This record gives sequence, structure tokens and C-alpha cells, in this order.
Amino acid sequence: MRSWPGPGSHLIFLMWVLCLTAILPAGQMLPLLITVLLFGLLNGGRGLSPLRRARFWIMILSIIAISPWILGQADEAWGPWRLSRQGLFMGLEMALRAICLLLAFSVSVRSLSPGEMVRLFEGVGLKGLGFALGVALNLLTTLGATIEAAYHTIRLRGGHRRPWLALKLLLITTIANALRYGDDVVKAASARGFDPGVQHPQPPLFRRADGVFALSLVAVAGVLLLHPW
Amino acid sequence: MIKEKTAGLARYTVRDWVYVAVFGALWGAAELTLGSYLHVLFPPLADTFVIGLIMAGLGSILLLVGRCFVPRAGAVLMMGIITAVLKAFSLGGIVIGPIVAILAESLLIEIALLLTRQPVRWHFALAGSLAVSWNFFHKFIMMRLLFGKGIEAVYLKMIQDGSRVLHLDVRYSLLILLILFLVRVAVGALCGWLAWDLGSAVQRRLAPAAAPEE
Amino acid sequence: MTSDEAIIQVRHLTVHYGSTCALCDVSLDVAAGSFTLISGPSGCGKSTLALCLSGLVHHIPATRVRGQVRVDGMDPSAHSPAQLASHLGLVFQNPSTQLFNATVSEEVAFAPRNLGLPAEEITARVTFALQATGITHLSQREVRHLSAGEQQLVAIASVLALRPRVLVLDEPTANLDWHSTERLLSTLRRLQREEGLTVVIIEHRLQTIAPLAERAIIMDTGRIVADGQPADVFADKERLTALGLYYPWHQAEHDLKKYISAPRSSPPPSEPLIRLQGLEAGYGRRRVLHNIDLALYPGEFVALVGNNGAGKSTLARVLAGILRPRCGKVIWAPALRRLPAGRRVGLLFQNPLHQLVCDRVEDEVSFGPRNYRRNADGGLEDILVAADLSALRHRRPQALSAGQQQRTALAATLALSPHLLILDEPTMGQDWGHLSRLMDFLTHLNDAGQTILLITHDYKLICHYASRIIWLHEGRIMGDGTAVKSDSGERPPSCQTHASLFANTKAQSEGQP
Repeated sequence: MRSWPGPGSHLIFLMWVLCLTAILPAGQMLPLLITVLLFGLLNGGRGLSPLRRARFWIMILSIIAISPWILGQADEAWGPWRLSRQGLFMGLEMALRAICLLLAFSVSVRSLSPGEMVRLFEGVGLKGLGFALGVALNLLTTLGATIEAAYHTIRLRGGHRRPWLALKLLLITTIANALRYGDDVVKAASARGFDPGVQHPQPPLFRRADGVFALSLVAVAGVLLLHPW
Repeated sequence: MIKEKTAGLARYTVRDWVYVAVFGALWGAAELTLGSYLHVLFPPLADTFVIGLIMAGLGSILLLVGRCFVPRAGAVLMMGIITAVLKAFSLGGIVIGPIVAILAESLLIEIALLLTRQPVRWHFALAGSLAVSWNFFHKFIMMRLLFGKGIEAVYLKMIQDGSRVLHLDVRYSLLILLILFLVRVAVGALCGWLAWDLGSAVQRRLAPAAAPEE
Repeated sequence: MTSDEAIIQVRHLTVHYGSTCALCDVSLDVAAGSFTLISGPSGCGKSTLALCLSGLVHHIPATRVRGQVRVDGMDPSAHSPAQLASHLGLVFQNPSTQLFNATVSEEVAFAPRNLGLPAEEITARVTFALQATGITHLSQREVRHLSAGEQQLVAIASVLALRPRVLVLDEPTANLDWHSTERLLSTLRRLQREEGLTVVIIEHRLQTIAPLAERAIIMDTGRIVADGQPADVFADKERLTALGLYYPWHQAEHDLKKYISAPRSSPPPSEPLIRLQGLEAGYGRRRVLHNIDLALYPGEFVALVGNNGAGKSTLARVLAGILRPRCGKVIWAPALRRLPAGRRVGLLFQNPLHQLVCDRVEDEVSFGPRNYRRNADGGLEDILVAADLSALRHRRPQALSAGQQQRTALAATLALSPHLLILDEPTMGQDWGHLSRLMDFLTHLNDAGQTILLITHDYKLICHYASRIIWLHEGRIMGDGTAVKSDSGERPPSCQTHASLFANTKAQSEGQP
């Protein structure tokens, strides 16, 4: 596992952004967004992938586009239309807040590897949940294949002509086969000595570097709250 | 130092956790394949009602059937967490809306099933209707969380302007919203009802064959 | 061998699942450091024996166990699987059900962590296990992205991290192609020689494993029926045949070119059933099939061969109409164009369990005809009789043996009278006895005019049954020709071959390395 930022820092950062979006005044959203972008870049940029998605920008630009028409008093003429400057700023503020939250969530979660996510669960005492996550990740491909095979089998045999029966049979077959795989997993895990009821000492979730990081974020929050841009 | 815990989730056996993983993976696989396919099929503005309803219904069914096989408090919520994490790791990046929906639906089902130790069909129907009814509130809550208070004014203005353009009383808008809500409740109840039957059918399908193949 | 030298001792072991006797009074000793092969037909008790050695049998509901087992001085019935894991490691058939972590190193560390070992010890054991299995270069890879063969090596490494003295493997090569199988077996051999590991391997595929084994045990209906040196045990061909086991005395040729003779000088007189022209297909951005030109003719029995990842299953999906090609043409015979996909093609997937969707055999077989409103009842009897399923008609398909499941899935597919029948790797989980019965049934169908496309990397099937072989490699057709028949016109004998059986290879020119 990498030294920093680890799962603890990601958790701290996400909580920090959530708190600040609730208490920061409107004008401070831009510096908060810049902080989020910097943290995302620090993590290699993986968590910034929403910025490349069309749906993301459709949602953001829709709010910015609608707001001058709907919010505030219409005080600007734009051709035949009357728009609101106040509404535009309100729309921009809402958009910045949404971008901050979405990117913070994406950066915090997406930058974690599956193994670190498992460690996160184990670190908070959920050993079984960490194990289940690993099992689920590795079973995903197999279950996808069983769903596909059952679906195509039913379809090739004309199941689409009786859709409700087909759906019922698909669900029963898929779930039953998945549980059979699960029984094999139980045997294998037991053979490797796994016991969810026995907790062994885990490396601490929060380390010194995370503490330093948390203090840094508190300082940044203070600057944002006390020194408006 | 090995510490043995005897309370709460630590009582889960290996089989319980594996089955939690299986149902979490099943819903995750459905979200990743069917969910993506439906988002392509339907335009973005339609997704909450149609796609959201389908995925919420399917998720409720899978969670409730899973509850038949892991009859422990917290199991449904654990399945939901697994699915949410799998969704978070899916290709294409984080989509926070579905993740929140998955967690909310599993939490609502968990709450509904806490009402009784031995659920019967009606509990499943109640749990299903609670879970799917989240779909009605999901968009509003997500927009409120993301965009803040200002979005409330946007929605209210849209309702007022829409009523004016269509020459409808605003109360009709509320009626439409109520109908949409009741549709979700009904769909959810139906899903819960069906999940009860499906759980029994799966148990019959798996009933011993006495022995493993060898 | 004295009891003192034996690392595994089994005395009068009897296991009942409900009323079924899975193991009946089995006694055996296994010497430390030996390489033992256990084989037998499906349902003979091999896997149950493995579960008894590991202690897992005691966790199966409705199981009664009598007798004594000792593994490395431990009694499995008196210890938990966790306590036994550092004495006996158990590797199962399906690698994807043995992987619980994200990366290879985390997976290998899983078992030592479960035992609460110190971090330094865990690191040392992980290093040892990765080196011993030759997968150190994979340590940071995500296990779900590995090939089946690599995953199986990870499963072995994760078991080795506990430093057991005994390694039991239950059909570890079932899902692997020849290359992955060779790699896995050479790893096991090296572990036995260099680490002094006792290896017990349960397998149907005798050809590749028997030469490595120092001892062979054959089981049938819960009992040991043969036990000794492999050369002696496998010399009794009558017994092997009666048990449905296949041991070719001649090493099968793994160079696929050798199975293909010269292409036909002229195409058959009939119109092709289906023709592919310039076909390309894949998944997402990945292109799997490249410029495929192929025609299948009525009444052919075609083997589609190639290593894992060659594109065989992708081609089957295109033929079945469940995968749309990106470019090129799929041209069906005019009489078949209006038929629904399921009436044109019957596709049998690898795992029969995945395609058994009903709760009774007769419902399974009649499902398709009922959907298409064909005469479901009239044809049902004929198909059940032909597939030898009449006595099982009211049984749950999922509760049948692997061979019976395979026949049920096949019968359900044939109930729609498809013009082309595609079988995708039908050898999975099948012993040779079941498989030869299935293949003889297919031969009978083919003799009656059924066109069959058999996808396989099992060379003995190619030898016995196919009249035409298409070799696929990295999405391209590298060879397409007929299998040579013997002078009598009969199908080629088993792989006790004469050199004349393999004529010179003339593969298709385009794309040939």
C-alpha cells in the first residue's frame, strides 16, 4: 500500500469537502474547487474522470443555462429575452458547489484501489465486509458469464415470447447458480483458514501523515472562511 | 493479540459473508450491464423515472431474495454497500447518484425488515415499496445535496411556469406528483411480493441434491 | 510403506450424504514427498476424499463420516480447517471461486494473515510462495484480470504460503488449455522435487498427468478399485474403458497443423448452410475476429480448434446471432433466413448448469417448442428417448450428474431442430465415459444429417469425431481442412496413430505465421 495519501487521508478529505460545502459562503466555492482539483491531481488524476463525461457537463451547464431565466429579478435584456444577472450568479454558485461535491467524491473513492478499500473496511472493524468485497470483485466476471449464458439460452429457446416467465426463469437460474459458486467460495475460504469472527491486529487506518494532512485542511478551511476572495 | 468478538456482524459465518458478496455482486453486475444499457437507450431526462424505477425494482428483488438466504440483521445493508462499492469501481468513473440510491434503498429495506424477526410476504412488500419509493425522492434529494437551496427555487418556478403554460391549476401538479409517488409504491410492493416467491423458488432449485457431484 | 512413513493415513473411511454412500470403507496411505494421481468416473468419491483430508467434509450438512483420517499427524475431525491449513493445502477446480482479494500479493498473504502471523513472517511467506510458483512478476496485478491458468497458479501460491506438507488439487486443470496445464504441472513437479511437497492430484485428464505420477489410484462408486504404479494401473484398458476413463498410450500431438490435411479440392455440391465473408467482431474496443471467411455445409461435423483466447467462442456467438459483427457479412441459406435465431442455431455453452432453467427435465426439453408453439408433446418423447432421459423426466436437471445435465441441455437445444448445432467446449467437468456417450450421440445425429460445429481444445475429440477441422489463432483462420480417414473409410482410431494419419499440412495462406 502506498504511504500517502492513504485511505485515511481520502476519508478525511471527503468529510472536509462535505462540511465546507455546507458552511462556506457562495463566493468561496471557487477556491474550494481549486483545492479539490489539486488533491485530485496529487492522486494521479484518476478521480477527475467525471470532467471527461458528457452527462456531467450536460447537468452542470443545464443549471447555469436555466438559472438566469428562472431565478431572481429579470434585469438584463438579451435580444428579445429578459434575463437575471442575480439568477446567473446563483446558477454559477450551484454549479460550483455540485462540481466540488462530485469531484471530491470521485477523487476520494476512485483514487483508492480495491485493496485499499478492503483495508478501509478492515480498519474500521468490518473484516467480513472487506472479505465480501474481495469475493464480490472476483466473482463479478463469473456471474456476468452465468447471467449471459442463461439469458442467451432463454432467448434462443424463444423465451422472449413469454417475457414474464423468461424473466422469472432468468432470475431463478442466475441466483441459484451464483449461490452454487458461493458454496465453492465458502469451501475455499475455509480451507485457507478464514474466520470472520476472529479479528487480528490491523495496521492503523489513520497514520501520522494523515494527521498532518488533517491539520493542513483545517488551516485551509480557516483561510477560506476568514479571508473571502 | 487475537480478539474474538461475539456481537453484531461478527456473528456472521463465512457462508453469510460469501452470500452477502454473491448478492452484492449480482446487483452490481445488473447495475453495470443493464444500468449502462438503459442509460444509452433512454434520454438523460427520462432516466430517473424509467431507468431508476427498473433498477430500483430489480435491486429490491435481489436484496429481498438475498435476505432469504442471509436472514440476519444488517445483511441487506451490507449487500447494498458491496454493490455501491462495485459501482464506484466500475468503468467510466464515479456516478454518485446511483451509489446514493443503492445505499438508500438497501437501508430502507433493512429498516423495514427490522420491524419483525420473521418476515412474511407482507413485510417484503412493505420493504419493497419503501425501497422503490426512494426513487421518487432521489432526484430532488440529490439535486438539493449537490446544488444547495437554490435548486428548490428552480423546481418551484418550473412547476409554476409549467402550470401557466399548460393552463393548469398548480394543484394538478401536486396530483401528478402524488400519482408518480403511488406508482413507485405499487411497483415496489409488487417487487417485494415477487421476491418472496422468487426466494422460495430459488430455495427449491437448490434443495439437496443430497451430495456434491463426487 | 509403513504407517510411520505415510503422511496421509486413511482407515475404513465411509461417508454418507443423506442415504447415499459417497465413500465406502476406503483405506490408503500416501507416502511423504510422493506424487499421487487419483482418478475415476464422475461421482466415484474423489472430491469427497479430498474434502475428508482437509476436514471440510464435516461442514457439509447431512453428512455422516466414519473411519479415521490422519494428515501429517493431525486428525481433521478434531481440528478446524484453519488449523489444518498449515498441514494440508487444498486447491479446487475453479480458480475464480478461490480468489478473495484484489491483487496477487494480497491474495497470497490472505491465508497467513488469517493465522495472525507477524507482518515480517507474512512477507517472507508471500515471497517464498510467489517464487516457488514462478509468478513473482504478477505480484501487483489484479487477480481478476489474470488468465485462468495464472489464477490457478495464484491459488496454489496462496495455499503454499501456509507451508503445508501436503498439497491436494481437485481437478485443477479442468478449465485450462494445454499450455496452462503444462505450466501448472511443471510447477507441481518442481514443488515436489525441490520443496519435498506431497502432491495428491485428482484428475480426469490422465494423459498429461500420469507420466508425472509415481502412483495411480482409481476409484469407482466410493471404493478404490486399482492402486499401483501408473504403468500397471493403466495397462488394464478394459477396466479403464468400463470406468469411462481414457488413457491414450500415444502422446497426442499438440501442433494443431498436424491434424489438418489438405483442404478440399472442391466445395461440397450443396449450398452452404451459412457463409461468413470478411467478418470482424469483438467486445467493446477489443477486436477478436479478423477478416473471417468461412462456409459451413449441411451435414458436416466440424471441429473449431485453437488455444484459449483464439476467438472460438466469439465466432460461435456470431454464428448463433447473439453477437453482432462489426463488419462483414453473415449469409444464411435462403430457406433459413426467416427463421428465428434459436431455430437456425442451437448453442450449447460450456457449463451445462448455466443453461438449465426449468425445474424438471421434461419442462426443460419442452420449453423451446412451447415458446414457439410447436408440437411440444409429440416430439418430447422422441427426444427424451434419444437422449436417454426418459427415466429422469421428472427429476430436477440441476440435481443430475454432469453427464446427464449435458444431455438435458443438449436435448432442450435439439427440441427446436436447429439446422446448426454448436457445442462450446463440451468437455468441461466430463469424464471420458460421459463424453464418449455424448459424442457417440452427436455422431448419430450427424449421420442423420445434423450439421455440428464442435469447439474444443481437447485433441482426442478431434482425433475421434471431426471430419473437418478449422484452426483459429488470434482471431484468424490458420488452417481449414479435412481429417484424414484410414484406408477402410472408418473414423480414425484413437491416438495410437500411424504416421500416415497426418498428411502434410496446407494451411490457408493468409495470415499464416
